[in-house]
Amino acid sequence: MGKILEVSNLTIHIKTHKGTVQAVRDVNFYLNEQETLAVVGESGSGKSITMKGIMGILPKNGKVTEGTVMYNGKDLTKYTEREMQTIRGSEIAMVFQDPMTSLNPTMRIGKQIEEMLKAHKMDMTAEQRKARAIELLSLVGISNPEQRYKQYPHQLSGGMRQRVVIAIALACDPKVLIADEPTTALDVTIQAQILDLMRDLQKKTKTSIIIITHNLGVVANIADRVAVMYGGKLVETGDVYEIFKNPCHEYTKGLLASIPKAHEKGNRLRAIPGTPPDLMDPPKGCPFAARCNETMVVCQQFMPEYSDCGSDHKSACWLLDPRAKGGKA
Amino acid sequence: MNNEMIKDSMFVKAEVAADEKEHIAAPASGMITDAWARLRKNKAAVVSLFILIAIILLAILAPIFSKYDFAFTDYSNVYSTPTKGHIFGCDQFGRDLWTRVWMGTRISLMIALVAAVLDLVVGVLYGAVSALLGGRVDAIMQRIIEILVGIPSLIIVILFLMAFPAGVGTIIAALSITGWVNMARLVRAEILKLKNQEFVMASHVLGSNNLYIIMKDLIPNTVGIIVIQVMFTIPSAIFTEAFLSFIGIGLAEPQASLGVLINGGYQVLQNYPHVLICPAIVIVLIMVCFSILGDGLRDALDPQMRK
Amino acid sequence: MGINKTEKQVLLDVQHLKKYFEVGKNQTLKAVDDVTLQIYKGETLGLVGESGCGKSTFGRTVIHLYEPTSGTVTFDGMKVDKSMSRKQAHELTGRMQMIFQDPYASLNPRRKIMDIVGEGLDAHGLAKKRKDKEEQVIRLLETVGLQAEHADRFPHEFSGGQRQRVGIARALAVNPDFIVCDEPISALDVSIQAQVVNLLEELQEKRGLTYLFIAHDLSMVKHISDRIGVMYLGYLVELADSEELFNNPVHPYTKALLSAIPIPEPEIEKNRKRIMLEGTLPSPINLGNECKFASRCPHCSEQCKSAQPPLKEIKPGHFVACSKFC
Repeated sequence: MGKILEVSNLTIHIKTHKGTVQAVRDVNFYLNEQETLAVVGESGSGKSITMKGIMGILPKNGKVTEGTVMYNGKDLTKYTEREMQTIRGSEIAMVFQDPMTSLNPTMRIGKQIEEMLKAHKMDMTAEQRKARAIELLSLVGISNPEQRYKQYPHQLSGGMRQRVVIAIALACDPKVLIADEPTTALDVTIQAQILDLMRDLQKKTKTSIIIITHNLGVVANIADRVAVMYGGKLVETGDVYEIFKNPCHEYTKGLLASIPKAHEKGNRLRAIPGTPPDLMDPPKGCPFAARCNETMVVCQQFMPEYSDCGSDHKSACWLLDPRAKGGKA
Repeated sequence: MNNEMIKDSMFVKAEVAADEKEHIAAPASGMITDAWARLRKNKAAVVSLFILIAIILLAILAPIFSKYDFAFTDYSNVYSTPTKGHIFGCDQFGRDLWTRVWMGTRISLMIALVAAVLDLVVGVLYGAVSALLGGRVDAIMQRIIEILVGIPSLIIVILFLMAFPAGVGTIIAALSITGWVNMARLVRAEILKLKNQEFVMASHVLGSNNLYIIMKDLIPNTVGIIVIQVMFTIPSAIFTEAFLSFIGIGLAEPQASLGVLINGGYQVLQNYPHVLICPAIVIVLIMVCFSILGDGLRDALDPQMRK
Repeated sequence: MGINKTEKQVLLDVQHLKKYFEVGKNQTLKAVDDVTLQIYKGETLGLVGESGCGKSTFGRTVIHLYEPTSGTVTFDGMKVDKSMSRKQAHELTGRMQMIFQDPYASLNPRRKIMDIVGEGLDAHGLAKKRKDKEEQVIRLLETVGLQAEHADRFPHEFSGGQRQRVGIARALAVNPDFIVCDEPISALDVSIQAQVVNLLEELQEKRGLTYLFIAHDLSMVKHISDRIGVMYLGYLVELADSEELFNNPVHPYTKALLSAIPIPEPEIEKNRKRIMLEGTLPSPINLGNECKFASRCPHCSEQCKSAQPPLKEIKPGHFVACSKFC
C-alpha cells in the first residue's frame, strides 16, 4: 500500500480582528491507499481547518503559511483555485457534519448528484448521468432509488440525507474521501447505519477515507490508523489498536481515561482538568503542558520532537525522551 | 530547535498552579469594546463616522459663528459666487449660503433625529408588547401593521401635510405616523426569537419576574438591531423631508432646510449652479455616510460573529 | 450512590403525563404520551432516547416551563401545574432547577458572569447587600471550579465547558433539591464531559441533590444514573436499574439502542454484531393506536398493531411496555 496523501509541516493562520489565530501548527501525517485514518481532537484543535486547508476551502481570512500537501506526487498548496476545482469532488471529496445544510433545499436530490457529474465528467450524456445517479442512490442503501431521485431534501430524514451527501461525494469515484464529523448530527441508531455504510462502501470503491470525529467509539469502529490533534498540533499518530492499547501521549491517555468504561461502575471518571489553549497566543512548549499531570519544566519551554513508541506509532511528548526516564528513576 | 538550550535539569516535574488551568489569557472584553474593535477595522465606516461628526459640528457651530444671519438679505450680493466673505456664495436675496446650508442641515438633522426617536419609542414598545403578549393581542396588532403597510406611506404623509399647517412639528409628525412600523416588526421578530432561547428559559426557571426578563434578557439583546434600524431611519427621514420641501409642501421660506435650499437652487441651476451644488453635496454626504456607517455597525454588532 | 430500598422516598411523582402540541389543523404532536414514573430523593434518573422522542419536553413539563395537557406532576407533595398560587410557583423555582444543553445559548451574552450566577439570588432575595451577593457568587464559582476573577467577564470569553459550569453555578445559587439536566454534556468535548459529570456527581454527594439526567449518550448516562428510562416517540418503553437495563434489556428498541453505541475498544467494536433497526423514526404527528415501535420492530405481530401495550413490571423495579416480551 502506497501513500496517497502526505501532509508535511502544514501551518495555517487565520486572521481575525483580535489577532492571528495559529489554528494549525506544523502538522505532519499521511494517508495510505484504501485505509481509514481517524483524526480526533477537541473542538478548536485544528482538525477541521487542516482538512479545509488540504481541500483549499479555507475561509477568506485563513491562509496556508507553510508546508506541503502531496497528492499523487503534486503539491496541492501550489495549485491555483481553478486547478483545485478539478481536484475537489473528482479526486478528493468531502462530506460535512450537517446533512441539513450541505444539500440545496430547492433542488431534487437526483439533480444534485448529476450536478457533480456534470462538473467533472463532461463526456457523460444526460441518460448516463441519470443512470449513474440512481446507481449511486442504491449504492448508499436508499430503497426505491427511482422515486427518491425525484424527491427534495426536506422529504428525507437526517440519516437518508447523509446517505445522499455521501452519494454525491462518491459520484466521481474520488480516491480520497474526507468526512468531517459525518455522524455527529445523527442519532446513535442512525450513526451505526452510516458507519456500516462507509465501511461497506470502502470495500466496494477502494476509497481512502479521512474521518474527523471526537467520538472514540466511532474511531474504534471505523479507523485503521488514528491521528490525535491538540492545540493545533498533531500529538500522536499510530495504528488504531496501538493507540487504544498503548497510548503514548498524555493527552491521548487522558482522553481514553475520561470515557466511562462498561465494567467499572461507580468510580469517578478521570477528567482532564482545565481548558484547551488559546491559539491566538499558543504556548511556547507542548500545547498540553498546562493540563498535563506529568508536566516538566522542559514541556513548558520547548515543543517536543516526534519519537517512535512502537511500529508506525509516533508521539510528540517529552516523557518519551531518554533524559526524562533518567530523571524519573 | 535549539537543542543545546535543553538541559537535563529541565526534565523535572514542573509545578502548575491549579488556577492556571482555568486561566483566560485574553483581556476582558465587553460587547461595546468588541464592537468598536470590529468597527475600527472597517475603514469606510470610520471615515463616514468622522464626516458625520464634522457635519454635525458644523451644523451646530457654523450658524452661531457666522457673521451673517441665515435670513439676512443683502441685495448687493445677489447670486454672488463663492468668495472669501461668502464661502458658499449667496442666493437670490443675497443671503449667505454658508450660513443657510448649515442652518438647513441643522433643521434637517433635527427633524430626522426627532422622527427617529419617535419611531424608536413607538416601534420598540409596539413590537415588544405584541411579541410578549402573543395570542390574540399579537394577531390584532399585526393586522393593524399590515393595514398601515398596505397604504403607501407617501400618500399618508402628503395628506397629513395638506390637512395641517406646514412647520417642523407637522413634518416630524407626518414622518413618524408610518415610520415606526418597520421598527415594530423588527423588534417583534427579534423578541419572538429570543423568547425561546435557553437563557430566557433559565430566567423563568430561576423565578425571575417578567419585568426583570424584559429589562435584562430581552431588551439588551435587541439593542443591536435597534441601533442599526435607527441608523437607516435617519437618512430616509432626511430624504423624505427634503423631498417634501422640494415639491413645496414641507418647510417654507425663509426657513431653511436642505430640501428648501435645493428647491431654491434648482430654479437657477443653469445660471448659478453653486446655489444647488452646496446643499446637494451636504445631503449626499449625509445619506451615504449614514448608510455606510449603518452597514458597518450591523457587521460590528452582529452577535453571530462573536462565537 | 445506591440507596437502600427502605429509605426510598418519592421526591417527584409523575402520573400519566401527556404533553401535546397543536402543530396545524387537526394535527397533534404527542411529544409526551402517558408517561408515569417516580424519582426518589437523592437518586439520578437517566432518560434516554433519540432526538424527537420527547425527553426534553418531559423535562420542561416537569419543571413547569410547559403546562401539561393532562396527567399530574407532584413535587414533594405539591401539584405542579397552573393551579399553583404565584407564591407557590415562586417557591418551586427555589427548589427545582435546570441545566441546559447549549452552553452558548443558555447564558445571556450581554450580562457578566456575576449577574448571571447572581440572578437566582436576586429573584429569591437570598443576598441582602451587593457585597453579600458578590461573596456568594464567588463561592459558587469556586464550587464549580472557576475563580473569582471570572465574575467580571462576559460569557463569550469562556470555553464550552467553563460556560456549562457557569450554568451549573447559576442553578445551584438558589440551593435546589432537584435539578433537571437537559443534555448538559452533549455539546461538550469528551475530556470536558468527564469534568462536568464528575462535578455533578460530587455536588450530588455533598448536597444530596436529585437529578433527572436527560441525554442521548448512553454510556455517560449509565455511568451517572441509578435508574434509566428509555423513551421512544413520547412513550416510556422501558425503565429499570441502570445495571439491569444494560445487562438484561427486554424491549426490542432498548436492545437496538444499546447495540448501536460504538464501544471505544477496537477489538470489541470491529467484531461486533449489531441489531440494526430498519427504516427511520416515523413522524410523531397523528400517530395511530398501535405500539409506537411497531413500524421498526423486528418482532412486530398483529397484536402490536392493535394497541399500545402498557408499562408492566416484569421484575421488581424493571418496567417494560411490550406485548411480546412480557
